[in-house]
Amino acid sequence: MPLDPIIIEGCIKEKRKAQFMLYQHFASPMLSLCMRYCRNRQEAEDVLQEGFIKIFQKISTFRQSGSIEGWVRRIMINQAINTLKAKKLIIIDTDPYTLGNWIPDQGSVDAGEQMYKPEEVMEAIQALPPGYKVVFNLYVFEGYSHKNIAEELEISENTSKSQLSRARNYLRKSLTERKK
Amino acid sequence: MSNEKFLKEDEQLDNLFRSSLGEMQTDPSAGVWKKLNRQMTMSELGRFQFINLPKAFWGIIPLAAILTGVILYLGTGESESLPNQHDETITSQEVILSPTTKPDPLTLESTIPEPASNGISTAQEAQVKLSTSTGQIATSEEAAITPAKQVTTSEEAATTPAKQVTTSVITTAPRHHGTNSTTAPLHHGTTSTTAPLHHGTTSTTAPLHHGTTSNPQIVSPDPISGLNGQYPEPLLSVVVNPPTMQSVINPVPKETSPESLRKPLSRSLDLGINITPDMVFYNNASGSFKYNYTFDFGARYNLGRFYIQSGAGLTYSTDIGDYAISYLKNDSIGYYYTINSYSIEPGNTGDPQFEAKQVTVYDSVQYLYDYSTKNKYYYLQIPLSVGYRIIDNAAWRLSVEAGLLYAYLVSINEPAPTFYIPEGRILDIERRGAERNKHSLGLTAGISVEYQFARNFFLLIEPTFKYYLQAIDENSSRGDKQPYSIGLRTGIWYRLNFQNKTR
Repeated sequence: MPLDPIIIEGCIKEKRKAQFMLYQHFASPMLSLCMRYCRNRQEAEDVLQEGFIKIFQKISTFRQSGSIEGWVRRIMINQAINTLKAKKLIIIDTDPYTLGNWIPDQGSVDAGEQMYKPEEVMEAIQALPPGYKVVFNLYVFEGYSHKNIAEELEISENTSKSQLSRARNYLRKSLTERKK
Repeated sequence: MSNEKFLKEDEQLDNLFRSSLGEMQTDPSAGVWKKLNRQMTMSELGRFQFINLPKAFWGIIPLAAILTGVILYLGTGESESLPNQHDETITSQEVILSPTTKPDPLTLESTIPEPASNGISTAQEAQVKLSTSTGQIATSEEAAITPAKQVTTSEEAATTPAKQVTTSVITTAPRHHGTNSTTAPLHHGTTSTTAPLHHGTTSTTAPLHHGTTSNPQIVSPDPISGLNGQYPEPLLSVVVNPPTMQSVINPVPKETSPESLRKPLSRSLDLGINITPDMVFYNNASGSFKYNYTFDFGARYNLGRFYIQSGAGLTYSTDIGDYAISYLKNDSIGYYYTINSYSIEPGNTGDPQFEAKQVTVYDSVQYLYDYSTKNKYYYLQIPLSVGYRIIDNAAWRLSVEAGLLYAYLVSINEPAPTFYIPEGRILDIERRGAERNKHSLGLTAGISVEYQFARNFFLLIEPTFKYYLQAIDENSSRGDKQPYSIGLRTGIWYRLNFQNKTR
């Protein structure tokens, strides 16, 4: 359901009611997004709170021709990454581990045969090391290319690819163990 | 396992996560909005949101300042007209009334307990009736000791009222047991004494005139009782704190008529140069502020405690050049796998094995880039304000002032953005910052503190507040409202006294 432009206008004028309506509209999906980047719900709620502060402060710069959802999502992702950076949680191995050299040592996870609850999938992704987690999220959920990820995190494309492979391998292990 | 199988499994894994979490929604706890609301409130308070008060409020401020000044002026009009010496005579005395038998409003009696202060010996049990005052005490003493001189001086006092305070002492009591009794009229700023006849006492009496210094009425003493019939007994005891030597020595004001006591308001002209850094709050959602710097020449015409001030100043203001640059650039938007060949392994399950190659897909992607340059603006400012000095002493002056400020944009320097995109093509450069208004009008208020560090030279420090009656920018798309600023004006001022030097 699209957001009423009147709510955005109200937020620009710093109307608290409009801010609350914007919060209500985006809080639930954005919390899920934040949870994918954080270790637990509490951390995710902190990121959500800081993200909305930035949204309310910067909403006058939002260009109404664009998508408010994309804009909000972008701010939340940046906030999550910045929080991880501030806590020095993103430690990415800069040794380029190229896909060509990468041979997974685990078996596959057949999504067709095994059914996983969303909570289990979320727990698996939250358990990822932060570096893997950010690359995996940006690639899988946000549709970033490795080049974009490399620019965003200031790493090489090959590093991004190797982090993604390791993340997938980690997740395979994690999901397989949950079913045992 | 071959690479193809891995790729397929990767895709399956990615789809598993997308389908499980892609549309997931999790309701945050209620405390999140509470904390968010509290944080927003604190943020707004920190950005001086009092500017959101009704506009009429800002119009009232200068009027209130002027009205306060008028009230203060009227309330202090008398002290303005009286010279400082008066403070050291009657008005500075602490008078304690004690119960008496027949209080007569026209007569006061005072006892000087310490002979050292008035020169009357306790051995003589001197009890001096006097109205109040300090300089007169010495006179009373003189009157008691040298009556002949007193008469002479009281005659002089009749002809020269200015000297009444110290010399208008008239002997009213006969010499009984070596006592001296004198009477004198009482005036503001003068002293006279009255006393009953006691052994060894010195007594003077006086009728009370309030605020006048008319010629004294010489009352003939009763030759038998030594009393003049008007003051047979002490009527009212007044304990006067011992006067200081300074107050005894202080000369009496020469002006004695009510008209002459009211001095004309002092007039002077002050000239000064100042510099003022200002923090300008734009009152938009971002809560940003910028710095302005003003160098001004000021002139101030003083009339008593009031003054009117004007001058001219040059203000340097900067702003961020806000441009949005749209450009196209070839960029990777994804990849796909192309199958070069496949084979079926006979010994296996019969599934085909693919040899694939990843192909990256590039496309022209439109980006938006915000580019910031620094714009510079110069304003000519002309203020007009009125002020009132709350404190005005030898070294310090504290004043409040309020008025109007007109600003004219005399010079603009807005550099164009320079932008280079490798392998890209600029589509559009849109200016997002608004044009500045040529004219602006604002309200100003300030509290100035001045310190005199040399003859006629003052150092000024003045916290100032300015509120612009209109937005600085012509375009209000950024949500800018009327900005306001807080600054600190510092400068050096020189006073030209061309009438009635006040210092």
